[in-house]
This record gives sequence, C-alpha cells and structure tokens, in this order.
Amino acid sequence: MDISKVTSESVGPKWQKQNGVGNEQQGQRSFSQVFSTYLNDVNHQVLESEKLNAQLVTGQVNHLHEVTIASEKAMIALQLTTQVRDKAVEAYQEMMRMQL
Amino acid sequence: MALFGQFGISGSALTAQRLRMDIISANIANATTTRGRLVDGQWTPYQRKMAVVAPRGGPSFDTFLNAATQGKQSTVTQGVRVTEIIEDQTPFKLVYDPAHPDANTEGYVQLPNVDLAKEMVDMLSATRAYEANVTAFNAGKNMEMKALEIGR
Repeated sequence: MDISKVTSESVGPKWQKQNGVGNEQQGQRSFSQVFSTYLNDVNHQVLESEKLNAQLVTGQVNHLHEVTIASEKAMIALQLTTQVRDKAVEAYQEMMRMQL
Repeated sequence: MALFGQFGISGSALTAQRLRMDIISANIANATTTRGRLVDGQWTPYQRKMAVVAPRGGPSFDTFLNAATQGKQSTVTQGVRVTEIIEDQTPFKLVYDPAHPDANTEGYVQLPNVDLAKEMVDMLSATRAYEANVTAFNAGKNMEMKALEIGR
C-alpha cells in the first residue's frame, strides 16, 4: 500500500494553499505539515514491514525477529495514526455541531 | 522515529543472542573435529569459539564528538553488538586412540577443547537471554499500546 499520494496532495500543500496564512510566519510548522511528515514515517514503517515479509516468504531473511519487530512497529505506528485521525475528525465534528 | 528506540535496542540484543547460539551450535557440531586448521602441514583440532559483546553507540569517539558538537549529553547506548569472535586458548584434550588417522606417534589424538556440559550451560544462558529480551520488548510494546488507550 502506498499512501504517499494521500499525504502529499490531500493533506499537505493544498490545505496550505487554500488557507494561505499558516503558522510558518512565526517559524512554526502547521499541523498538516507535522501530520504529513508523520504519515510519511508511518508509510515507511509499513513498507519496510511489507518488504521484510516478502523477503521472509522468499527465504532471504537471516533473523526472524527482524520481521516480527518490523511488523510490530508498523502496527503501533498505524494505530497511533488512526488515533490521531480520530481525534482530528472528532474536533472537526465538534466544530460542525456548533450553533451559530 | 524515536518512538521505536527501545525496539532497536531489544532487536540488537536478539541478534546478538542468535549469533551466540550459532557459535554454540558450531562448537557442539565440531566437538570431535580433529582437522580444524592446517598449521605448517600439521592438522590442529577445532578451537572452541566465543563471542565478545560490547554496548553499541556507547563509549566510542564519534558518539562523544557528535554529542559534544550538538551540545547534548548522550550516554544512553543503542543496544548491543558483537565486536569479535575469539578462540578459546585452553589446551586440547588428549585421548589414547592409536587407530585414529590423526593419532601421533605415541597413539594419542588431540581433540577440540569443547566441553559439551559447558556448551549446554551457555546454550541455556543464550536461550534465556533471548527470552528475557523478548519479554523486555513486549513490555515496551505494551507500554506504548497503553499510551494509545489514553483518551479513548
């Protein structure tokens, strides 16, 4: 699974363009930037785990624990991602429910 | 990600214990090998091998230099690594067996300095150390999974 498209287009720069002014003027990184670098990291972990799984089934793995550790890393990273996503969506819905 | 630092530490220890296990297997497999190495036209028996382990990323010059240039104090090691595999220098066992092809003129054969009882003890120690590292890994993983439950 390659999610780099999701990170670069729908989460990253487009949001920046639409909103124009971000926090960068104060020398800070915006949430979308932090989130997209983090998503890239997670994607890297998942791809690494997939690569090791492929190596395992083709018999190129020297140490079994490397495969299991990589898959654990990918799982935790993915769970953290969904947790952060849930919180962000929750905040958004909270805003939408606000009475004007 | 710094989040997975502990995984790398436990992983390096697992790799080191696997290597120890490989060495012990080689020692047991060669417990009766009389032709380990050819020295000046003479066969010498297999010598027992041992792994030397050292902390990784600890007391080396470049770590201290990097820590100093970045203005940080970093003494936390990044796990363990096997620095070298040394040979046991204890004398070989002498066994009287005149029919053996490698027996000397008095009828004695030099056998490797591998003690099977010692290898068994080392093997158990390596297995238990591996298990201990898996337990440490799982404990760290459980802590992170618990942290994910905050606010759920």
